[in-house]
Amino acid sequence: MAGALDGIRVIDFTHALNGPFCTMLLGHLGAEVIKVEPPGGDAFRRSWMPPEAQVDGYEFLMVNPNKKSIVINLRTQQGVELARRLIMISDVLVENYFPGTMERFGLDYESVKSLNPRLIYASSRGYGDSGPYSRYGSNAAVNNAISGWTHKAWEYSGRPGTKALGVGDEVGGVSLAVGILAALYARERAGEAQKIEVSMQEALLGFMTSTWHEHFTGNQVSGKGIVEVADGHFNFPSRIPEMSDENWRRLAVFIGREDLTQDPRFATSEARNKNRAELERLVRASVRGKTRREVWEGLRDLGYWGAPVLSVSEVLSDEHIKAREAFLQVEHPVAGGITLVAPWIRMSKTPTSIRQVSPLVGQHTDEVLKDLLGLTPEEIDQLRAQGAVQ
Amino acid sequence: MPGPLRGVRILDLTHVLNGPFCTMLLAHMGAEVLKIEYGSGDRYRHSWMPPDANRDGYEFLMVNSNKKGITLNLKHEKGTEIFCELVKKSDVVVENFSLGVMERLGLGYETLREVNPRIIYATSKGYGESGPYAPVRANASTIMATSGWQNAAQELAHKPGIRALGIGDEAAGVSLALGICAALYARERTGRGQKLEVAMQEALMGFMVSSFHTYFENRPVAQPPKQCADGYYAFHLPDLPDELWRRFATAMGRAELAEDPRYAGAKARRQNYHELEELVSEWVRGKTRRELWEALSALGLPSGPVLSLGELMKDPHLEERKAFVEIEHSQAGTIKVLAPWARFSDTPSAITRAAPLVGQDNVEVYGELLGLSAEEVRRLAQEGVI
Repeated sequence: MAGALDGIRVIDFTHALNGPFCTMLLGHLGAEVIKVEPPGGDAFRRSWMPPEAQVDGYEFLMVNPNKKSIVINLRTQQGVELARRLIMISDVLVENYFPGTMERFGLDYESVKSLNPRLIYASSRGYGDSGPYSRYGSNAAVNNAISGWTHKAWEYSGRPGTKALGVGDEVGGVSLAVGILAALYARERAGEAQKIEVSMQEALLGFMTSTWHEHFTGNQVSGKGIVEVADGHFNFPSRIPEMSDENWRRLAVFIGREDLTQDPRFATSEARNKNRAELERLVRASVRGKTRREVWEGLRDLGYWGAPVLSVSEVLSDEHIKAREAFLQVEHPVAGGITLVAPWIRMSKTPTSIRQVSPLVGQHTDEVLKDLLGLTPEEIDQLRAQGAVQ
Repeated sequence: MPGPLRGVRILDLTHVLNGPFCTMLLAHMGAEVLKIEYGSGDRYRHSWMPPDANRDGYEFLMVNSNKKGITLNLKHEKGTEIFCELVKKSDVVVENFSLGVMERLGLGYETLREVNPRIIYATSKGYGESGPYAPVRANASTIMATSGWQNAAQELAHKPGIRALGIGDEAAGVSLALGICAALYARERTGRGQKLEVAMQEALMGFMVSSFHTYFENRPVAQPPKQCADGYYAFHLPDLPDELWRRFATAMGRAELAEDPRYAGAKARRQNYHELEELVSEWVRGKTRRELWEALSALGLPSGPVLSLGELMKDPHLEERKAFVEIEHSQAGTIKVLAPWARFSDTPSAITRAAPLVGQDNVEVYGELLGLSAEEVRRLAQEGVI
């Protein structure tokens, strides 16, 4: 079955992670994504890899499957001309260049919308297209810092100066993807092009729901629930659930305190609710000698919402993840066998999919120029000799 | 101008944060979202509020703007009938109930698509609808635990047991919204609806790009922010071409480094990266965040100050962008909410009204959509249907 965006062509001028995360999602949904790279390729291919690495890093491999790579030198006039011809036959253009770069190439929205009145032009930058910071560059770490995310994470961890796990790039990317989809839908009805803009900073603020709650109301969201157990940590829910007398008896057995079922402090649901702090303390103290799995399996049927803290490696080998086929094994010509998160939006009629691993630099230059623009091998050779493509 | 999803009607059975975050995004873009509650309503209205609070909390207010509030008792026979009437006149049903709830109500996808073959049915659950954990209940905190997020955050903080900041709910909500838009688009061509499913656990893993890099490549991604004169500053030295390296060394007041053979050429700088980082950190320590930002931006290098929320709320950039809007809520008064952050040139997203009270729009919605009179609506309320 074809994906929901089957037949949609995306011309992808993005690099690093913010923009490519967006076009990854469009690729999952079946769009044809043409990744336009500068000579030498997206610098992100080797980010966070050893200096001597000859292979694209995992981050790159994760966010670029399903895409075709074409190398165009946009600093040449022929290169810009090719880009304009591709824009004419595309539905969506996505870019996350520094402010002013697309203007210098002559490929900004105002310059290209006349080429293709149905084009959806999507941009994401650190701070958006306007405002005093719009001239500043950004990346995920910067975005986490400038959005208050890092500061909040440190408040929680009590460890200022550490790296805060965050989603500084991904949230801008996914927001842009949502915008593109909505604009495609609107285009079906109104038939017109438009521009979509997402500031990475604002997108991240949009995902900080609990942080804003704490800021504006002064009330804490979720308590300290993580308890050390025999083989790691268990994340307890913020409060003990209401439970029937039967479940209370089972809980007492589980914590090895059957004697407590005779204790008037816990005899009724009302009493347990009144003394829940004490009950919580007893439960948490009782689980220290148990494994995460024992705690989880023992408590979850009693209405507890807790969960074991799993490492990435444990997640990968977890029975549920395996049963769901949440990860895919694919072969990459250079990196070898790699494991990717399977597209996680599961659609019954237009399934999301990974159809091809991330491309090598310029892997599809010839194919795209020939099939989409009708260039002959001689013309392509000539462009290559002129340094317009690679 | 209306948003891109104008004319799309969403029946929103979601509660707490995962589902409502999804329908918030759809409502930002102009969809008509009917939030269906019953009794005292979404229990999330009072989550993380003091026990005596008699109004909805900020989390609820933030993610339920633009929605219409109606009540309907889905356990009442007449309630399911009315729901099916609404399905006939709607485009999308969204729910994040526990596994099997909709089927028990007789409102599973198989039933609803008989009612309306164009309906798009979107569901999000902690662990999805299949696999051994499918019946296990979940929330943002447990999902961060079982997806590896909590563990990765602990490792980065070098401290187990911390409370981790994350997006356990939001990642799934936005993924569901994306899927719904894709299904709406596909429906324009196929004429058919479909069902889509997002597991919170999988969605969160999809956003953990750097954690998977660290796991599979056994290498860290980015450095933590560095201490500076008035706080912390986010900057790590990227690969620099030689000319930029010369300018960078000069900006640090260490022009002589440009001549140092240990740092001559991009390759040498990569090999001696740790020493170089030390030099950079030392320079950063002596400067204020503002000084660093100016100096590094002049070189075109991405960097930025670590800001607290208090600083952020006074930030001139967000002010000029009008990133926050103020809206009036009948109980909470004037509240500040983030403006929709996907900005469209022709079909703008917008916040047009504050989160509804329970059943606030019953008379309007049942009147306009199902042609019920105010009297009939009153009677349904008496019968416990709404």
